[in-house]
Amino acid sequence: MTDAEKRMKKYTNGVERRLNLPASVKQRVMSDFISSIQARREAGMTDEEILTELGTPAKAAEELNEQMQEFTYRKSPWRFLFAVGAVYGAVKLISYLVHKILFLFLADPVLRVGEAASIGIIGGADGPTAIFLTTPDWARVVVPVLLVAVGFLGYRRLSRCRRKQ
Amino acid sequence: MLNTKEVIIVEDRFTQQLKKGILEMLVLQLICEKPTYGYELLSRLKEQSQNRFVLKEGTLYPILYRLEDDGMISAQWQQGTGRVAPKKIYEATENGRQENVRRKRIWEEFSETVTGFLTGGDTK
Repeated sequence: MTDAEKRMKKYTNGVERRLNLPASVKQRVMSDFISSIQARREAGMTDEEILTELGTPAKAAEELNEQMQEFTYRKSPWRFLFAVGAVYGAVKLISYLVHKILFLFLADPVLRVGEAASIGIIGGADGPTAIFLTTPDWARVVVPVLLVAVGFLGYRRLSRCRRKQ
Repeated sequence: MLNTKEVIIVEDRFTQQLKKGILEMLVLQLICEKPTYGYELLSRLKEQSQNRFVLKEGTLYPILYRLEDDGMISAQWQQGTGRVAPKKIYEATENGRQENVRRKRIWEEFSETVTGFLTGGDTK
């Protein structure tokens, strides 16, 4: 890469970085923007002239951002709720699996009985926890998995770009 | 000579609104005439309008993307010869050509009607 190319690359990167647009639109804009620079070169303009005409990266990007308004997208703020749900589900699932694995290695039947007994006692002492602790094994896998799945899909769906009409 | 920069700055809301639809029509017309790329469109608009339609890339892109998304034009990468980098070139689709004809007709009707109003106002 020659120095001139490096300089132009730096310039276009600077513009791209400042574009406040969804990735796909950004790519579209940049492909045209770079074509434009190329076309100006072929029309006989020097890089110096091209850069003066297009303005600083900040200015060029600002103009593009402004003009591309209708192609910007809105992400729903509710997506965070789904994200939190997914993370919560993942944490539950991992902690459950870690428990299981630890038991596989460490526990002998006697310990298991002891554990079960203490869960029963503690669980009996406070209501909602008891429900969770006494839920069947399968539910303790399925529920977090569902949470993760729904959370993840919901998050993706709500952050999906939608064109403002 | 007219300073084009100043013309852009003093452009009011009315002119902007008027230009918006017209530019889309003109861009489609220019692309129908021959496949072209962004910068060439800007230069042709500028030259043929005697510096009245001086656009920046940013103003042109939304027009191009709208036309492309509506299937009136399509973009291709044109490989340059030798060390020349490829450029994005736009050409009209069949739909675009038909739409262009339709738009021209609408424009003619419009301008006739509007001119009728305006000249009528003058003679009063």
